[in-house]
Amino acid sequence: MMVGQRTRRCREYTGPAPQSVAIRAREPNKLPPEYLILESRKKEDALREMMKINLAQGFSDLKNEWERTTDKKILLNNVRQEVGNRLKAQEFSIEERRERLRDMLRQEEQHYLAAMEAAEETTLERQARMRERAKSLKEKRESERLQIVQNKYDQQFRAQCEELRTTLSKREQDIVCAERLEQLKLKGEEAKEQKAYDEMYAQLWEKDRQEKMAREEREAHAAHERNRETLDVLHKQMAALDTQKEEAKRLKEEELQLMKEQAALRKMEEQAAAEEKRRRQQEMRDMLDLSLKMKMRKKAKEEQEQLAFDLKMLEQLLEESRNEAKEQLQRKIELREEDRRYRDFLAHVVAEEKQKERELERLIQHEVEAAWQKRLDQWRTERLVRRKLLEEVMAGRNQQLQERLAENMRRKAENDRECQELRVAIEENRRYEAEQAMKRMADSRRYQGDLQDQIHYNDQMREERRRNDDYEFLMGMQAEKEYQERLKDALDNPIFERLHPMRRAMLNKQ
Amino acid sequence: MSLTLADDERYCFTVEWYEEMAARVRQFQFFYFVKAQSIEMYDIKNRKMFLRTSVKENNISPADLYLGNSINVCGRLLNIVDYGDDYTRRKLSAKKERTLGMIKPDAVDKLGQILDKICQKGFLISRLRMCRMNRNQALSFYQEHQSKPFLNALLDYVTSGPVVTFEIVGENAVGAWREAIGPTDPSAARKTAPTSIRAQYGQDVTFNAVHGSSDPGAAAREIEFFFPSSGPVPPNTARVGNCTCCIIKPSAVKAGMAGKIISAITEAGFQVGATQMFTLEKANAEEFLEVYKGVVHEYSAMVVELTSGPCLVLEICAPEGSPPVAPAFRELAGPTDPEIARHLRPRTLRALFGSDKIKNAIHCTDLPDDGQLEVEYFFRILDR
Repeated sequence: MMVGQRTRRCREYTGPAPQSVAIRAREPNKLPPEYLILESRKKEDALREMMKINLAQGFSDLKNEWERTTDKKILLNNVRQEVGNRLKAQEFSIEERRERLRDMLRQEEQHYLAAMEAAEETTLERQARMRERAKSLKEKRESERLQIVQNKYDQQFRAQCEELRTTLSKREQDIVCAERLEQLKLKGEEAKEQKAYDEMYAQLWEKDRQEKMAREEREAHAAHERNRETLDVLHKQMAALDTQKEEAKRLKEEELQLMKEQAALRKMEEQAAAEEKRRRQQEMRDMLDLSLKMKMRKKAKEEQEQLAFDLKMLEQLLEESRNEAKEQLQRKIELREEDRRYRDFLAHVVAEEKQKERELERLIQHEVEAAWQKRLDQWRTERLVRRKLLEEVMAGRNQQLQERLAENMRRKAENDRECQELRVAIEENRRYEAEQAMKRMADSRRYQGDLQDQIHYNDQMREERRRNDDYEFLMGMQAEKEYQERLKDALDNPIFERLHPMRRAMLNKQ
Repeated sequence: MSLTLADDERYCFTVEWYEEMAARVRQFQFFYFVKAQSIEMYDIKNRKMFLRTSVKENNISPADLYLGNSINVCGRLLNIVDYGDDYTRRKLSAKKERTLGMIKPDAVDKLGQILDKICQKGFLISRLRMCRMNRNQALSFYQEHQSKPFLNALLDYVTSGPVVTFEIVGENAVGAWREAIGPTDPSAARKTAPTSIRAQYGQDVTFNAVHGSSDPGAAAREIEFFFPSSGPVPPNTARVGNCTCCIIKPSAVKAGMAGKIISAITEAGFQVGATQMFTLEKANAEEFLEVYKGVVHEYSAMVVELTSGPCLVLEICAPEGSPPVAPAFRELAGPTDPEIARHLRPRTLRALFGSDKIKNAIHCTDLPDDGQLEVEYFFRILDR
């Protein structure tokens, strides 16, 4: 497509020369000037139309709804009615069936009842049956009566036949006698049994009594034994007490001995200490003497040597002076002077020496003294230690003794307490014994009373039995007598209880 | 059925109760205390004790406690659906073994005698049903004989007419029932076990009168086939034509008189068109006996009797075109009161088998027109 042919969308048109532009005129407006008004009018119209339609629609909706619900209701009601009708019809049919059933059952029942009644007998039949029954009953009674008559005749014969009666009575008597014999025998057996029974009981009692006696003896023996044992125990305890006492005494003696020993020991120790001291002093003195002598000797020797040396030197010097003549004189004087001075000096030295010696002596003395003192001190301390040891030993011993004494005391107290307890136990035992004795006495007395009561009761029982026997015997006699009398009476006036009616009639006639 | 249970035992089951007021099934744990003679129900959902009562008031014996049975506790019909604990399962699963028995078409007319024999041998029938199998059902029932040569003949035979199937509960039920029916071949049975059922009622190997499950597994499968917990069942044989309804009441069933009564009915020339064992709930019993309400005084007692255990419902029919069967059967049943019956009709069923006005052995349709209604009620409405 060419460039110039292309359709333009804007109103500008470029010319052939540069910067030549033409603008197309704007087209006039197609819409009428009252377009907006018309448009709004149209919208309003449409709206109105719509609302009208809506109204109509709503109305028809309502109508439809109403119709539908009504239809539904109608249907429901119809159904309900139909169901109700059918139920009713069912009910009716059931009711009708029930009615029919009721009728049928009633009829049937009546029919059955009628049948039952028909099955029952009529009056006439009943009368006939009753007559029949009466007849049979009568016959039965007649036959029974005949039977009785027969029996009575039989009885009468038995009653009246003397021979039969005698034989019968004899027989009866025999039976009675036999039975009486039997009875007597039985009684004898019973008595025997009773006797055996009594004997057995007596035996049992005897045995029981013996057993009881044996038991009592046993018990007494046991009590005796117990008492003896208690006594033994007491004896033993007393012996123990004695031994304890002796022990205490012995302890005391021992203590005394110990004390004595202790004193002796102390004395001996003191002696030994003094001896020792003296000996040591002696020794010391000897040693000091020796050392002093040795020292003196040494000193003297040294002095001697010194003096010898000095003299030698002096001689040498003199020798030299002799050699020198001139000077000798001079020298002599000087020497003399010197000698004198020397002598003075020597004297001085000797004095000094002596002084020194004295000093030394004094010093030695002092030294010795100090040593001695030291030794003494040592000795003292040793002695002190020894004494302390001894004291400790003595204290230990003492303590031991004290302990032993305390132990003794304690044991003694225990012994005393045991003795006391023993005494109480003995007392208690004695009391218990007395009580037991009392109790035994009471038991025995009660037992005696029981026995007596039993004897009494037995006596009473025997008495009563005897009385009963007597009474029974009397009653038996009485009964026998009465029986005999009654028999006699019966034999004397016989009674006929059941007479034959004919006989009774005859008797009445008489 | 005698059970020797130790005294100090407690049995636990899971039971279901259909509560009418709330229209819902409630589950409970059900405890049976043998020594204390008491029972307890524990509400599983609400986790609390529901009731506790004595056995005497409810007449429940340990023999009633087996799976699938319905027991009546204070007016509530409880279905035992499962064992509640291992102990009970261990103790009772052997004692309460279940097996399936079937009376085959040729022996169905001897139903009464066979049932009587079963009762005499001490078996407990917990469920019973007369039905007709089609070929497919028969094939699936006899699937273990799938490849056998005699399958065709067997299928022809079992589909040729109605069969009566029943569940037997008892100690070692499978073995005992197989022993009772005898060997498969009736001629062999006549030699070896002459008192067995096949020996008495069977003809030959195919027509051998009765069937028994071979082992516990097969028994469970066959029971599930005929008495499924859900799903379709082979249809019952009720024709609902010229018929009347006869119910052998729970007391008579419990006393083992069902077989004798059925024998008496068949001997009197009536046909048993259909039969089934029902355990009625109170509502159903009331509905069924509606027509007697207000008519007889014993209505409530009748309801109680009818709900007291399993009852056997029979459809009594006569051939088409014969006179109505209901009045004739009523004649056979006799007066309601066995006392009157014994006086007036000593040969009637109630005279022979009834004990008092309530426990009068059978219920029969009273109104001639109601026979169909009652039969329909059981075989069309309740059997679904």
